Amino acid sequence: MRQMKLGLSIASAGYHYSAWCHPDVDVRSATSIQHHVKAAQLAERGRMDFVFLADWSSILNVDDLRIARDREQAQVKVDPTLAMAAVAVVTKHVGLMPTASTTYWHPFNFARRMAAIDQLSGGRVGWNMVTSHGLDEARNFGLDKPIDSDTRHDRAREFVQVMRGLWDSWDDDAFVRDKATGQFFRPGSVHALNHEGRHFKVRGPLDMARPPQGFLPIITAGTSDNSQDLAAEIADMCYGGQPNIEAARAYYSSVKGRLPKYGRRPEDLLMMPGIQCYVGRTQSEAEDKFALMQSAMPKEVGIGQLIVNHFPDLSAYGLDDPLPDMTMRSEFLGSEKLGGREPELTLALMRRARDEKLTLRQLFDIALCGFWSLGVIGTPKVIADMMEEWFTTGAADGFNVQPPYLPGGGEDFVDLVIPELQRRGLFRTEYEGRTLRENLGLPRPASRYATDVAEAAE
Amino acid sequence: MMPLGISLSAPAAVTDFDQVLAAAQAAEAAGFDFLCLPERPGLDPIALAAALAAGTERIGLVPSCSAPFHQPYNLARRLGSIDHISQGRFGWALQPAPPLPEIEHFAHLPMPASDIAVPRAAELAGIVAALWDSWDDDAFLRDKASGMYFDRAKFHWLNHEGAHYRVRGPLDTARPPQGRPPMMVLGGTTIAHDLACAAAEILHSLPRHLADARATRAGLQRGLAEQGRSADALCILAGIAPTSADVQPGPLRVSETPAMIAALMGEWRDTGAVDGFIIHLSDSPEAITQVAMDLMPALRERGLRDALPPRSPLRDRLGLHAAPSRYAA
Ligand SMILES: Cc1cc2nc3c(=O)[nH]c(=O)nc-3n(C[C@H](O)[C@H](O)[C@H](O)COP(=O)(O)O)c2cc1C
Repeated sequence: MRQMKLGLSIASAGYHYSAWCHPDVDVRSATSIQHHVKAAQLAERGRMDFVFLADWSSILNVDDLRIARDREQAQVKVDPTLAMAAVAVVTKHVGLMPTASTTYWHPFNFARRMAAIDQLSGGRVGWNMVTSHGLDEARNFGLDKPIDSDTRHDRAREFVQVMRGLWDSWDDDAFVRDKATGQFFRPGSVHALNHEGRHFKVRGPLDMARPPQGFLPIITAGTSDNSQDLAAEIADMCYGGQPNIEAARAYYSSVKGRLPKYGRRPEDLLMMPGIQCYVGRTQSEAEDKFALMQSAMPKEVGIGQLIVNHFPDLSAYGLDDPLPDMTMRSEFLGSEKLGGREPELTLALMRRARDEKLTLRQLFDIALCGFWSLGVIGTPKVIADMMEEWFTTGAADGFNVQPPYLPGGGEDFVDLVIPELQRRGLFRTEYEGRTLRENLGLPRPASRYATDVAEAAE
Repeated sequence: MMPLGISLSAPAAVTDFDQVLAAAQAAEAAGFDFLCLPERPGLDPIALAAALAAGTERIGLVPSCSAPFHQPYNLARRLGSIDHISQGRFGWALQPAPPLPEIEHFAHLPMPASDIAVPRAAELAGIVAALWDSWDDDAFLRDKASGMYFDRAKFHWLNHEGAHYRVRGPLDTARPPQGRPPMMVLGGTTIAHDLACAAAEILHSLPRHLADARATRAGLQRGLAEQGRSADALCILAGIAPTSADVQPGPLRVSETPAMIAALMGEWRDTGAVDGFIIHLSDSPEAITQVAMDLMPALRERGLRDALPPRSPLRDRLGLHAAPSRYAA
């Protein structure tokens, strides 16, 4: 029976912008390795496929004083590849999925570092591939503005080609290490890459053995044609941000429909929407948890997040004031597109505020859970029902779980929702394999130089 | 205390993480101050340092990296992250110019000609240190009651526009626990010594004998003065290796008994030729433990080492001054 895949996304102290203000949360989570380790151990306890770390190489529009970045937690973080290298040492089974940019890394450095982490984790590393469209990021790397989408995606494609080529430098059976004959590796088992492309010139070979997974599993996100095509061509998983099942089904079939173009089958790519949950044993317990989180949020944070999503500045309104008629702002706001949010959603929310005569507080409650991406407040049954529907009707192959705060919000998912999914046979009760690939049900890719493909494919 | 580190210097590729972890744990248990992870084929030293930080508690970790292959923003963020992960046990060794075969993996990048390798590496190191100061030590209020996470008056745009790099900043990582994790340069060449005088706090020197070590120190003191730095701004550590050790060439080979090695160390240090030593060994935990068992008692007898050094930041263990932010009043 087909089972869903589950990731646990650690975003500092959690996905709520004020997670760090939650009474049970450690305020130092963003830069604390113990926090990351605990979250990974929690995911492992839940038999989840991987822990995920989103990332971008900059602060985010801190110079826009209307956005209360000084009340949010996400400006400082630890480098996700290195946090995962550390987490690997104190976990055994869970996959490790750091984000890294094809625009601001060099493929040789990245291939080498990730091969090392794959090696030291026993084959558990994956990669959230991003192409970095942020303005703040560009300005940290000597550019005045982000590189255009076509060039970024072209570079990303070549980046992955180079990386695959480097990981194939040594055949799987290259190292014989025969003390008797003094032979260390088989002649003819090492291959220089000699890559010369539009973006990179890399001779190779990589100075290390082919890593346990052969090649690391790639997850990527994005709604433009460029990002969907890139996902269809090279990714193993696609991370989505659609808020409702209709949009998720449309995205699911749009991405999967592109696979045949690249000689791949629809099942070769797993669609993994994000899901944010407030879980309670009863509906009212779940709602209390949401209310507690919302009450910890300063008003300025809610206002700023609306501005990021093209709302006007509502700071003159009290929490219980009715709202005015609103129109969308259009000026460019630096990195505001992070998360790939659709302006149509903003217009819909403005219409709803007008039709339902919402107060600012009510608008915050709608906007902060389940509006721009999937969010649910409910019992394990309600949440499992929804996940099951998405999973069985062409909207998802799994989910990247986005706990609103950690560890509490993550523990609720692991202790309450996962057992319900397991009871229904929708999720594993034990890890199937040793590597992330094995647990994701992805075959180990044969080396491009393998003559007998069946033999190389473990 | 006389700083004393280990450099894992087997001539072979680094393929077995468990062995490196066991070596790091053996070095830690024996009381060494830090472990150098040189650039070698196999497991990437920066990834190794992050992983070893999770498997150790007291020992310093000093990976190497080659300047031309790194963007200053990325490098500051990654190295700063390891200082956070290790809670202040991190240092790094910067190589201004990589060996030729490595360059060919980065062939589309403009490689610095030898005469600009040092200024460029020094600019890189300068940006890294400046980015680490992006946030003041007290920038993060993290006050649930007021809802204030950081103070906008306590971070700094860098707006660096230099001969080789343009970086706006600020860094998206809090100031490292050590403020400025110390930078090491591997000595032996003029360009390395130039870079050390300009930007480093540790020189890993490779003297052939005491007179050589003295001459090196004298040269470095002149270089430091020219840069307007004080003579004690650079901690000089000499690389040595037991004759029997299977290591890459470079360090001075010492074959005497533990008591004689301890005497030599004491003499070099007391005459001011060096501040301490880095012992080059293969990656074998047994070799590390053996050297420690032989040598540490003799060093303790001479008052050069404590029984068990305190758990403290790497800067403290090396006797380096605290590194306040450039923006501190
Ligand atoms: C759910 C989701 C998560 C994302 N996470 C990141 C991230 O961690 N870092 C990043 O730089 N971009 C992230 N992105 C941005 C995408 O990588 C992509 O660049 C963005 O959606 C713009 O799409 P486009 O490039 O197709 O225009 C994310 C996007 C989505 C939808």
